[in-house]
Amino acid sequence: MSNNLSTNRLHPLSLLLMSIIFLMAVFLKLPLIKLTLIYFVFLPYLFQGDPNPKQDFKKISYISLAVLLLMIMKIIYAHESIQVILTYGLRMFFLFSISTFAFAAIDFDKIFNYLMATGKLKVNWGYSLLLAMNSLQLLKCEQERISFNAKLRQLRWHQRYFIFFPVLVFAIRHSERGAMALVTRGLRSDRIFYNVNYPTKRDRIILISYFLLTLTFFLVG
Amino acid sequence: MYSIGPFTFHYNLNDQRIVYCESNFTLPTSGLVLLTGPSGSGKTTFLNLLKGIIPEYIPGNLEGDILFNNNILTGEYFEKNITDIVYLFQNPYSQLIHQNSIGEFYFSLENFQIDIEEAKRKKNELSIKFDLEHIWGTKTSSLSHGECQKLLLASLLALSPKVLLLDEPTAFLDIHERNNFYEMLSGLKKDHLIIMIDHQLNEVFSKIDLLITVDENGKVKLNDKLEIPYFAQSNSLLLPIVKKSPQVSIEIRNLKYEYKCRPNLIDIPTFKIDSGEIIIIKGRNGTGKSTLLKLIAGFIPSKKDLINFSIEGQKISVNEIHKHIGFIFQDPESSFLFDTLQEELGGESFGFTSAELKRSPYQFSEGEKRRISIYIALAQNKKILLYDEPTFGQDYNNVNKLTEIILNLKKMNKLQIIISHDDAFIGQVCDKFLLPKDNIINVE
Repeated sequence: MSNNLSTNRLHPLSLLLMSIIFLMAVFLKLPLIKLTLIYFVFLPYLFQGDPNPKQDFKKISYISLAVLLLMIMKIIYAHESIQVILTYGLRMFFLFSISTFAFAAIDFDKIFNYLMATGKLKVNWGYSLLLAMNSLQLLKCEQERISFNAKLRQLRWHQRYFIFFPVLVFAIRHSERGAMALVTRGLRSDRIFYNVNYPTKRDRIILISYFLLTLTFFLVG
Repeated sequence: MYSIGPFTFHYNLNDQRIVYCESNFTLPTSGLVLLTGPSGSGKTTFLNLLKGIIPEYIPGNLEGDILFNNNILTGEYFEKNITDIVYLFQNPYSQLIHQNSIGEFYFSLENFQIDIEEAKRKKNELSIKFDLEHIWGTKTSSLSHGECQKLLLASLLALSPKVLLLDEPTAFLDIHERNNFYEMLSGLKKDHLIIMIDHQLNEVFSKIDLLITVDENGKVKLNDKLEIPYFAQSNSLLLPIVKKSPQVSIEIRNLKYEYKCRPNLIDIPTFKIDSGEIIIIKGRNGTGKSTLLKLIAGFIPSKKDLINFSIEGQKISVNEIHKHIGFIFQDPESSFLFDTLQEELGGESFGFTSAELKRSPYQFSEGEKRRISIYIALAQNKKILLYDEPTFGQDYNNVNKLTEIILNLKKMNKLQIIISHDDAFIGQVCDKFLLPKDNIINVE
């Protein structure tokens, strides 16, 4: 059974590929004006995603502050020109903001489901990765509990670095239980998929157009 | 159906812990079988043997027969039995595979290529049976323990299994949810064989048809009589010797707390707790019990002057309070930070032998792990002890030992706040209650 996404929304795989194209453009130092242009072309698509990354605006304000501080430090200590520092700061802002919004807006469940249903990813690998992604929240909670415990037990600063090991123990045990659940619930390679979101023709057009736009910016001027 | 002959199982030849059975017995095709025994005796191991996970996926040495429909449970028969024998593990969150609840329900059905229309029909049927209508479309990470447990059970039942193996399915449920769950099992047992590990003996006993015990030595036995079993205590409890604490008090004033999705979660006008008191926070799942405990501990920061601490009348600053608080987590392993018990206890012994002190805290039984997590706080001379579900996963004997320790600490003037669903335990230790009223935690 196919289940295409609603009208304006892009497939999460398209969003992921567009994010990668944008990040490549940042790393390959696309001129700032062109980078700003592809940033604002891409951003609305991210905000049509489900889940919507609006709640991450708070994180973006922190990122902006950090970038601003770095820019000030560059002015004070590196004596760079304002133009260079602005370029540097805006690039960092674009990089962090797209990474944050994309991580919030992309539904990896749907990507893995699509890749497994179309045979592009083995189900054993796909479900192991899904399980790992879903356990990130549990790991975060356990890490917070263990850190809090370390604080209550007044561990010295150097001892607190070792809380990595109890978190690792938890992760290993959790992965064992998860693997067992996959086996006992009958995971097999010839399984079927009821709800698969396939990328549409519109997805392909937008993705290719975005890629070509970025490529043109690199090649021209 | 199951035919269990004399067998012996141990994880490796050097391991002294074994699970064994000296006699033959068979299990019927339907009914509710309670599997009980002391913590760490091998109940989960026996359940794993009944599923065939051991020795198929977890290595070990099995001598003797455990048969299902006259066949062993491993190799090709493990695959053949996969829809006939389904297994719900202890921690439901570890079994979640999908981020959305519908995907989670369909996971098992997709594996066995069940037609979509048939799958939808099963979803509708089980939605009504398990009261799951409201969770479809929500994220699995936002489900409560009870909802998560029901979703997984519904997903497994959609496969129309013959046998249900349940490992402590009620451990995370409050009394209301537990009663609903037992009622649901009473309905299911007519068509299925349900083998369940559970420590709530008083509540479940009237519902069961058969009783299997695993004693402290790992001996599995089908009991002729349906009587609540008594297991000898493996070792006597040495109560920890701790210093008497000075007078500590906690005063809560106009404490309000809410989440975006859960307005007015906590609303406590005034509440004072003093040393030597045991406060129980009790209520339905999702009513903010853990949030309140975390607010008191400072795990979740609260506004200034809403929770005030004092020792011998002297106010303690918020930045200093963590030095006086010990937090006993639901999972005792969250308290372990070091390689050996000796390091965990900071040089104190608390009655452990020198050989035991050199062992990893992870190697102890569940009951011992729970007690170690309390001793860790005592080793640091903590004056305030906060417990999150301390009786979770503990058998009758371990709950008794725990009760003894907590009452002894009360004499030592410790201030103790406990979240618990265990009514028998609460009856023995409680001085004051914090209860949810209209789903808002308040003073009672």
